[in-house]
Amino acid sequence: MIETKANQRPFLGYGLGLRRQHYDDVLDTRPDVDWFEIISENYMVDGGKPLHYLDRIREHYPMVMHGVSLSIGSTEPLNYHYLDKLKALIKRVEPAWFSDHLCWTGVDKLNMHDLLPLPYTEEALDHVVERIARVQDYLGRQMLIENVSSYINYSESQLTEWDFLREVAERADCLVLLDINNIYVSAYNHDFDAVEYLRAMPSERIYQIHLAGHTQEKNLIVDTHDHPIADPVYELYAEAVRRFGRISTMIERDDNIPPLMDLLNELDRVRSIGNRVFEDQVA
Amino acid sequence: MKHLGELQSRFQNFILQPENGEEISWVSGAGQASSSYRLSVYANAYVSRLKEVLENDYPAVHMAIGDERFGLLAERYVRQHPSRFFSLRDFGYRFATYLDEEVGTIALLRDLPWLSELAQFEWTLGLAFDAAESMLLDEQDMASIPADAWPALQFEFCPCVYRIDHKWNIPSMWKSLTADPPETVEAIRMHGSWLIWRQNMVTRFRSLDEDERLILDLLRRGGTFNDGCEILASQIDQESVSMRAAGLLKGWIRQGLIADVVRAY
Repeated sequence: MIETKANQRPFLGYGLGLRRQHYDDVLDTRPDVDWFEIISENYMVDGGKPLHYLDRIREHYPMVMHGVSLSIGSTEPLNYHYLDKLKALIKRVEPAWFSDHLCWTGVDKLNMHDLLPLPYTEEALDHVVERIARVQDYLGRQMLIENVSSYINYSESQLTEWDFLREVAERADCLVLLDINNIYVSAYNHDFDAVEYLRAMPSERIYQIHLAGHTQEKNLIVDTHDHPIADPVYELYAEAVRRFGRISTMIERDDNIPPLMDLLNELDRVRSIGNRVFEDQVA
Repeated sequence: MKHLGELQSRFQNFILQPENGEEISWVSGAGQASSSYRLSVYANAYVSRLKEVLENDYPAVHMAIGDERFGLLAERYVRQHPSRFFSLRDFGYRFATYLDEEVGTIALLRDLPWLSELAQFEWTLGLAFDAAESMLLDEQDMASIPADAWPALQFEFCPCVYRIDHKWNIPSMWKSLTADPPETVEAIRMHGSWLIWRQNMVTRFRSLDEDERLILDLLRRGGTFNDGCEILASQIDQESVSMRAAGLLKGWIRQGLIADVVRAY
């Protein structure tokens, strides 16, 4: 697929998740990164270094915002205190877009600080669609919703994960952040075909791609973000670019964080795959 | 059919109490990994994630008591005080209080009566680290205040300014424990008053003499410059009061503690 006038999503290029370990390197060396993604919650503080570096780095790079606490699928009421903080940060950062996960993080006023999967039922679908619509109304802009990796399936699920995600995006009229590593992890854990997942995605709504590393445990793959991207994930990424065209792509590294140079080398590989596959398609 | 709310409650209960023995028929068995093994990935990640947050927030406490004891205390805290916050930034907010409450009941805390103070010190450093920015008063601003306005002046301190009292030599313990490489230091009973703040993005702390502690606490509560001088007069010679007050103010301004002044009347 190629970019046509009818399908002109913004293309930011190739980015990295901004991590505090790299703040000074980023400012001192201005690395060849097209954009940065920030974890929104890390900057929902009153002042000090996090916001100081955020503002300085934002002067030089485009940014997108990525949240982990919206808990869009929870049966708890939406947290408007959180949404107000998010709104204020969006105003400060002026990101190209903001995203959060198709998941829930807790009930009974508690937060498990994890991206817990939803049952893929009509009830959950209605619930999530209604809440995304409310969030988009409140913030006055569309959001990107990201597929999570998972280790369990609910007995109650009636839909596949990919049908559920597509239905959510279309009914709520939101955009999609497609995590290729998460698709790979969940395909292994639940024994489904990752390419079938890609085939079901609404191409025109995919605005961003996440790539990350994972850990192979006994009979399960765990989404740890503490390793380089694995080869099969690169292959699945190439397949995604073949299907969807060029999409803003970045590497998420959250643990065992290496020097910035290592991530830049990894990003070069991502960039060369993304550009090569796209040019082959155009040709 | 189980509704979304019920499924979420059951899932969360498993994470919080993986040993509760409840049947987990709501998870479909697929492939080689059993339902309980699959769910245990979430339960284990929950505890280890939150323990890591406490390790990051309390590096000196961790260093002081080592992995094993810290791990046990952190896990008990995680179980007793599940997070009610959207940000992990706030999860460890009552760890010092928890240590203080448990000092009489947990055997491994019995020889560590200073531990909760060390935790309180570290948490306060964290509060100063990302407190709100504010404007700063400079010496020129002070010089432009007419002499007759001084008695009624009230001082607005920056949001990053914190006061803390210790019964032990906590700040020197903290310095030794967080040095690279860490140094051993003995806990010594030593009453002291401390100021913690942030200046130019760096978190700082220093001890306070008794007269400075008194005037600082009074001014932070809204007392006027005149009230402050009276409290200084209770501590030092009457003739030295204005010199001392002027010296303290100059120091506070240079250290970036004062945001603004207003006239009380």
